[in-house]
Amino acid sequence: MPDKETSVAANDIRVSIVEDDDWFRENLTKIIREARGFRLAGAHRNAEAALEKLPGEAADVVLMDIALPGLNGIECVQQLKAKCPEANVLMITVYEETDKIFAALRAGASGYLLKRSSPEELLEAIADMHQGGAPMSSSVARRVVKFFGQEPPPQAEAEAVGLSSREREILDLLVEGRANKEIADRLDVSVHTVRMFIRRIYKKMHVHSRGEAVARFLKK
Amino acid sequence: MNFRFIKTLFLLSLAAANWPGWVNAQAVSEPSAAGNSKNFLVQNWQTDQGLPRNTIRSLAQDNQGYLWMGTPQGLIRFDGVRFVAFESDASTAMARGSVQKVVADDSGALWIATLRSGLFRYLDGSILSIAGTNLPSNVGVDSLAQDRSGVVWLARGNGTVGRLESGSFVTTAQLGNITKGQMLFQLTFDTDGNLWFYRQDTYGRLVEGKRTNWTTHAGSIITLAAGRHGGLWVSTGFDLRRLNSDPESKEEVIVALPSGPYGLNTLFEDRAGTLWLGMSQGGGLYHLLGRKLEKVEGINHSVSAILEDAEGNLWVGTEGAGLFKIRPRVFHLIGKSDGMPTEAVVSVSGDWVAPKRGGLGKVPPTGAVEMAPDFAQNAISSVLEDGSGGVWIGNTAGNIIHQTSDGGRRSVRLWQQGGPQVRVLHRDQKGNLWVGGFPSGLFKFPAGDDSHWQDLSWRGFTNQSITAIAEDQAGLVWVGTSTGNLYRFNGENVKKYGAAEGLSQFPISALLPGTNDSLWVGTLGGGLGRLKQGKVQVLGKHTDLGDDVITQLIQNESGWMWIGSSRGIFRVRTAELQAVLEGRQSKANVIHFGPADGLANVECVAEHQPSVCMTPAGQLRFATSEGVVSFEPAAIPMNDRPPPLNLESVLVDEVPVSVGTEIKLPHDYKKIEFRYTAMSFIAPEKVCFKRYLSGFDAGWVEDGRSRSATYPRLPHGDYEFQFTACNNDGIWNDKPYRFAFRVVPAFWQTTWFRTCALIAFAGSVGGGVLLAARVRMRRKLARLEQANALERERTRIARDLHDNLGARATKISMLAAAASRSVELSETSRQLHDVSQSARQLVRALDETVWTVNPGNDSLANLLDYVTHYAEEFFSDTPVRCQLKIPVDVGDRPMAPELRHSLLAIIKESLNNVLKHSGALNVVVAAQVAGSSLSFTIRDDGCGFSPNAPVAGNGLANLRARAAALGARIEIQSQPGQGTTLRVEVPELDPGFIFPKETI
Repeated sequence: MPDKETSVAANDIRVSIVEDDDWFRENLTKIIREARGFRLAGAHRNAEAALEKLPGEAADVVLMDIALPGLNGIECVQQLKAKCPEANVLMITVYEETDKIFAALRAGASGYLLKRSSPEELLEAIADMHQGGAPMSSSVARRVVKFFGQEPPPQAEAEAVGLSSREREILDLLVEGRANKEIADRLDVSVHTVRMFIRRIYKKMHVHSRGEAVARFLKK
Repeated sequence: MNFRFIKTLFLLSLAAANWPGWVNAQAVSEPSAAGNSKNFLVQNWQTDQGLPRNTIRSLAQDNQGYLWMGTPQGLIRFDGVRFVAFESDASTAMARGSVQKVVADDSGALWIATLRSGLFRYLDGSILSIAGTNLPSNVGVDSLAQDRSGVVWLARGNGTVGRLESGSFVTTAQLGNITKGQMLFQLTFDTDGNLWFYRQDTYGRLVEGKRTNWTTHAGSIITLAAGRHGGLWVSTGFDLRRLNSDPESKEEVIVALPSGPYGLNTLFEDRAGTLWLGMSQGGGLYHLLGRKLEKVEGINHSVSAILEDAEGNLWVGTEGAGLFKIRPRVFHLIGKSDGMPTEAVVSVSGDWVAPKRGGLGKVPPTGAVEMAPDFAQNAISSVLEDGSGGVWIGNTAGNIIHQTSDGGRRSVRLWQQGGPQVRVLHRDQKGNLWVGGFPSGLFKFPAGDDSHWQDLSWRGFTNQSITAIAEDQAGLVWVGTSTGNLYRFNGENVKKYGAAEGLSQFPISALLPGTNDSLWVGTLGGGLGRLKQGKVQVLGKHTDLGDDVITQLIQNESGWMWIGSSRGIFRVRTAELQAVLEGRQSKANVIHFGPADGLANVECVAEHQPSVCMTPAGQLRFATSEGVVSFEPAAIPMNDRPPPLNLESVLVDEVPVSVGTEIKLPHDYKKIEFRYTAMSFIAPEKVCFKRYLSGFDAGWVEDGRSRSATYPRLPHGDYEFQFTACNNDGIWNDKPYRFAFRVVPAFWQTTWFRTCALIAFAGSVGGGVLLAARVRMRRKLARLEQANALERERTRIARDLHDNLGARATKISMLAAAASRSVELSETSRQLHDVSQSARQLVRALDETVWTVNPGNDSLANLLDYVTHYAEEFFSDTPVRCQLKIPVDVGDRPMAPELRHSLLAIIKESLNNVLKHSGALNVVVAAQVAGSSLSFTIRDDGCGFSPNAPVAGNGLANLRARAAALGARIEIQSQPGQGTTLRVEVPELDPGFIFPKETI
């Protein structure tokens, strides 16, 4: 384990893809294969196959279609995170549907990307996520605020799951549409620290949603 | 056979769901910190924090580990996280009786004494009245006590004392007649097993049914408690006395009770030998220190019950102020209330401290921090004790000041005006003083010389600031920098370690020399790593420290590494971290000290160093955002008691089933949920769980703090669910709780059925069944179709657009983009690029149309979310910086689709004006909801225009027309060169509109 973590700088970023549309999947596969510094770890056409194979692929970033047949992408993330809590999942979607995107983020995804993004944007998003980036748009931040505001967590989890005052502060600035750099300047911290805090917010949201989200999807 | 089975399960579920006659209220707890006691951590739960009742008369811990509270309304059970009230409705006896005392016995039962309705017993979820000819339920039981053999003794309202034998009451003695208005007898056993009774001004001992040691203190109110010394504590209401175990001994007066209007309610000696006194009339809680009584700050109420749980937490029940938990305070925060100008501290060394906004402080053994008056305005950035009573001081102006023990000072300016700030001070074993600067600069003062220095900045430190300096056992000095590089100084030789050695680009914030030439390296954002044999290994993300902001590292003699981080202070065995790095162990037990330890909101800091130190007395001190955290590492108790486990309920499709027997699930159930708990009260928020469902989970699933697990429908077969938990110190219970169940096959999954089905299939019966089902389905659809026809149509349109057009247009954009790259002819390439761009715009337009059409978005909240999203995307990749002031929580307010659509059109139009015509660099988009009105304001700092001059192309007329159609007011304020403000207000959000249900 430590070897992998320490030598990443020299290695390619391993990417796995879960996408049911053959054309999209092949297109994504091609982009990853041809890009320098990236390597394809696997490509799957449905969640069931992905859940079986992904744990063995040791991907640095998993691209996951939000609308898969059978088990959908959100449920797939949920189950994947239960098996491999460290998996970095980037959701891919045709539309900016905040509800679905937010459900995926709660389930454990760390970001999302529109399918209409250019190959450069795609590669940049993967690389950024791999380096610890955690993008959070204002519209997602609004959901996060509502999420933590409306459903106070059980107190056993408050410490792990409630937001600290610093995290709240950062969230409020994200809601206002401020960029990470601007937030860093305002709070007198580095951009790294801001990114780290955003990741932590995602993580808390994920921890808070565990178990409960499964129930929600099963109810449907 | 299968049908019968389903019925059985259903009945079972009903039985389990209803506690016979009892209300089962659940609430999740959230304690509040009470008071600011220097020596104790006091937490309080009241109804606001989830406690069902605020008056608690008695406390007990049962053999499963639950904490029980007796209240005038019934019982409350607590597992550290969740309160469950066991209260009757008004017709039931226990509630009318008012619970006075709860005692837990070894069999897991609880005995409950009520003031008016006799005795009750709780076992396995049901409460029984223990009434019989010898024990009428209309006579109150005022006190209960259990002797060493487990026999329960009662003192009853009629003045008799006796014991329970096979459910009936055997009178042992008549203590005295109780007349109306008199106090009842109380019972207690001493450590030698003697039964003592007391009431008002008398107390005595019961030996073989005879009253002995009869003692009276006229005019007193007697309270007794067993003493660990073998004797008895006696309070007369005026003073506290001790009686040793010799029956002939005399009372010894220890101390007078606090004066005031309050008396004594209860006495309790804990296992450590501390005597606690619960006062009445709002007198609070005291403890005996030597021969003095000391009040516990934060409790100013009447205390009626005191209990020490199995882990040593002290619990206090009060009249009207709920439940308190008391633990000794180990971590002390030295901050504003101790005389410092600010809470935040930047640097700490020995007794010296530099508060954030300047000044030099000295922490005395007791009392307030002494601030040096002549340093009040100076921005001190680093302090370092010099080892002989003086201190080195570095400031933001680049000065080094040496203050000797006699108060004399020498100041050296390292740079001319505007030079770097001093950020790091370090003294090596030879006595050299190292100085690190920000944004760059490294200097060394030779030992004993505070006026000459050596400038080492030229050694590659020009573009990075010095962030950490440490020295290893071999006397080599290590210097870490803001760009994540590490330098080793061996005399004149300097060796650099960087990305090639595995260091991250994160600033190095803490260096700690380890054994065998290793060096621990903490970074701001890149976690903790170890440099050994020229290579850095970083701890994985799952070690709790992986992606953290590490600020300080220090080790004490007993092998603990103490780690400061932006999340507070952590402790871990250094040997365990080594084992993890060397692959001998998968995980290190990292303990976090947080709110439960009195360290709420504590963020450690490391911009200036030293920011952590060990005092000569062995105390560790960390610089934090909340002050100096100071503590004695050895005083931190280790909880080696694995938490007891309990599976509280199993729900199949949300219906509880009996946990007591093996359950069988039908093949078509949808989900199964397990709710469980573990009783550890020191820091319940640190109790972690892991679970394993055989046949489903590949291995144990670590599930954090979650106390429930839900599994989807499982294939038929036998399963076993297991879970276990660890306590606050990471000690796991190695005997998991196990629960077996079976999922039975459906009739069509049995071999028997499959054979029959084959035969049946040959016939044409199946066709008929299918047809009937189809007809039923059609009718159902027709009914649905009629309802909300319009919403359904909108939904369908949205879904079609969404599913068909969106995905295809996305493909076109990607195809064209790929083609444009592979074509070399510039004109064709450009055209393909345009096709790609157009297709992208098409998807974006579809995105918006889908949003507009979808009835699921017919609400104010959705409009605000969409405006946020739209503005964000609209201005991304443009020079305009967009700030959003849009309220997050506006509740569920319906909004007609026309209004939603038109408002969005107005906003889009005006944002377009800002980008195309105003030349603005900043725009603020604000929304305001006041009563039933809604307004949007869009303000830019662009060129503006004269309101009178006609401006072509900005669509103002269009905007006005749209607004008029909505019945909205629109105002546009602008002057040339002063920006433009547009405000649109809808006075009344359509109140008659009904929320649609269907969404895509």
